[in-house]
Amino acid sequence: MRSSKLTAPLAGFVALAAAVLLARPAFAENVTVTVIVSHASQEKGPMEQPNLLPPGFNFQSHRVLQRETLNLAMGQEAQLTLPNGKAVKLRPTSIQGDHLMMHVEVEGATRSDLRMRNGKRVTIRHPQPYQNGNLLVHLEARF
Amino acid sequence: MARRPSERTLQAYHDGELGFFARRRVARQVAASPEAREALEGLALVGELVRESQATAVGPDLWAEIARELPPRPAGASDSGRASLAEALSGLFRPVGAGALAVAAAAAVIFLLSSREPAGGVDVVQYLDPGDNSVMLLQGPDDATIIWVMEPVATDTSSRESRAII
Repeated sequence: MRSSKLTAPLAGFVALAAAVLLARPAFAENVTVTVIVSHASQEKGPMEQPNLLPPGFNFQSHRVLQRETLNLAMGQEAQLTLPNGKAVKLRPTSIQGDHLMMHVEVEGATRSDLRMRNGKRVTIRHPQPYQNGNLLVHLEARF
Repeated sequence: MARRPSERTLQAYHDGELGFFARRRVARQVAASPEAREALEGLALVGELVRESQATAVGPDLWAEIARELPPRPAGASDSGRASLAEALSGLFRPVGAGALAVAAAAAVIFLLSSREPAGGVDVVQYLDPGDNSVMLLQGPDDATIIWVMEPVATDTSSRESRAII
């Protein structure tokens, strides 16, 4: 008698857990992409988040100018405008194993298809000089 | 209606890695899909560009362009020309593998190769169209991948086309 009282809630919990697990792939199709736009220069100034800078270059200042966190579905395109007026377009296309495939266009710089790893950053340096330095576009995806 | 083959299948088809039946099936799908044919032509073009670039030496003007982007050398450093710059570069940047990158434009794309083990971000960049820009792929801290697009310089465009090394 007592065991049947326990069995019913337990079965409900198992069913709920199974439903959550089965529903997980639907959520996994959305990805969170963090975009940080920074300005690196050889002129002296504040040095913010130096870990974003590539090693070996003689930067004397680094400022974070923009930070956006985007929640994107597969195939959904997001567009941002850089401080220099150029556009950045992002479009996650698929998840392949442990990697997110994402199409990235940085106007005036590159068009690329990236195979991004979870939490690993990709930085694109914009070639156009901006305020005695250059803009860096940092992308990091969580999925 | 034939299903369009996946990018991975197309790549395997292009590389001759499919078995007899799979190859026939993909051939049928390619024949029925203009998109797949276009993608296949793109792969062929990329292969051609990579082969051409592998046979091309780096012109001294490109080294000058890279040097322009590097931090200034400390006073008193010896001036031993290209070799020392190459050493500095290989020490500065970890290499990003060549196999994963498809170069779609005839612009200069530089891979800094050394005898070290391949970097973690070896296959991050699957396709790169740098337009008229020169690009270096670098390995940054925390295993980050850096696409370093160099500032355009006024050079003869015909010579730019022959400056890709892989």
